[in-house]
Amino acid sequence: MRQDACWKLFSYLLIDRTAAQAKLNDWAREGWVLEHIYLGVFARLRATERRDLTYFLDWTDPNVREDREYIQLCADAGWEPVQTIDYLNIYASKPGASPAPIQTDPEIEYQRFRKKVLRRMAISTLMVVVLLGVYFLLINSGSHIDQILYPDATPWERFLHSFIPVFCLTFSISFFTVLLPFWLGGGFAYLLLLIRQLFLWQQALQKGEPLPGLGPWTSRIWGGLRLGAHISLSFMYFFFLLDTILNGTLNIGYGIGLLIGGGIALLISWSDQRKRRRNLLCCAFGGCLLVCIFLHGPVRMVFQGRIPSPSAAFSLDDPHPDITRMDGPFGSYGKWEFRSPDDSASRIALTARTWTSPELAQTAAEPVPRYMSPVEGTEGLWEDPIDGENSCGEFLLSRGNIWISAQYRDPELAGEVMETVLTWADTLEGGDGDEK
Amino acid sequence: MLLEVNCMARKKLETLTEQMYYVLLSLTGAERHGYGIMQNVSELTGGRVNVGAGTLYALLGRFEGDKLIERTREVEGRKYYTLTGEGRKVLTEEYERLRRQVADGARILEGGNRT
Repeated sequence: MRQDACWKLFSYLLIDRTAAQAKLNDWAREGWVLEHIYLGVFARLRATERRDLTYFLDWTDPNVREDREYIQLCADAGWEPVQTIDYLNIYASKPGASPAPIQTDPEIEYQRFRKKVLRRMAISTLMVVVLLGVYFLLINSGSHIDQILYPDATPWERFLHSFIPVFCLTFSISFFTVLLPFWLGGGFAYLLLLIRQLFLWQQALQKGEPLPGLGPWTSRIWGGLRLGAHISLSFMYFFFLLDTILNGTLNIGYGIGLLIGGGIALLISWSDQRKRRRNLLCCAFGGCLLVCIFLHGPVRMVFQGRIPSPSAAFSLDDPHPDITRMDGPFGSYGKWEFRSPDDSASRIALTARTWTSPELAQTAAEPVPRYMSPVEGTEGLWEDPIDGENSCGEFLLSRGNIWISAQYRDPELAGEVMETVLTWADTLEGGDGDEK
Repeated sequence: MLLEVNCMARKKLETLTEQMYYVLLSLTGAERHGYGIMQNVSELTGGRVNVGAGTLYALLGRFEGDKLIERTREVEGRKYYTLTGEGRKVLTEEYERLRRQVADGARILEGGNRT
């Protein structure tokens, strides 16, 4: 007995419109009508008794609503819209109609592709390049300071010193950085393929030949890569929410802003089905984000992470220090700021970082700032005591894959702070946390 | 980056494609909306030439921009067009060009008159 509905893999690049259209028409001849395509690769089909069903795919700019006259012409001609996906409008023939193809002039179709698709792709590519530039600029935002602190370090070492803490401490950035070469490589390969297809298309136009498409295996490979890109992007959203819950990477303002922005966009574009769907997703994501932001506190009360709280006598003066904790796939970070009861300024600040390997720790923690000097008798410990030139003393400990820094304002606390740093490092190395 | 298709002549509409020719022809002495043009072209050619909705949309935009046709009214979202004087001139020139082509072909292919 035949199923009423089924799922099929539908993985075609936007440049392979002819193959995508042919596949839909093949399914139509077999008695399947397209209900919807999800994530750009999964087609939901429904059984149909119609034998006159045909499909046509036409180029479009997904960010610009089609002109009413164009929609009316297609409707009058016997085509009804099914879905817009990527840069393609999918049309199905109306029952009883045997409409002519929507595009009957290859040269005009090529002009429409240039106007609707290439321009948008150029803008999108430019935005990706700008975002990547901002990403690397943010990573290097402290590089000028690092040049002062670490004058003997090479630019690559200074870059790693800035980059590795960010890379290690958040799931989303770690995942993004690991996948970035594949995304960039895939994007570059696709750009080359697009240029080649455009060249072949123009040759075909000049010769009056049919528009070229990709071979079946090429389409399958690219379809698989596209599916991989969609899945990895879904993981990005998941890790982004995980970072919000675990590491408090966003405050409530972001979630509310996303909800309000998505809501306003939704109201403005309510009549546009494509934008309505996208803005609904934006609002839903904003709502999820708010939930994750509120969950951060309770989750952190239960899950302390890799870095236990330091225990010291001075901590009794401030039983509620400011605590910042981050745990990522390759490292963890914890900061405790203790204040005097009568003083709102930070009295003592203890910061610990751990990495999953000593090599990561070495690359991120070294070189030691030039103003610090080693403590005699204690390996891996440096200090910058309070003297006439600075009012804030500092200790720095580097041991294996642990890195601890302590800053204090009261010179009488120097000894206690150093003991705290050493004890804390022993605790971290031992792995048994003094959980708070 | 992009290689340009060699369509300089088309850009200035010095010659018309078959579909362009029949779209202008269907508006001669008649006011039609888009689908009416599509139907009329199919009737004129006995189904030999069919203008797609997307192609017609692009052609109407181009013709209107070049002042070969003008919009007369709009009813229920359907725009009606008619040929302008300039459009009739371009159409007539194309007709004359095609007529000369056919005459030259007839002389050679049917009359056996070779020079």
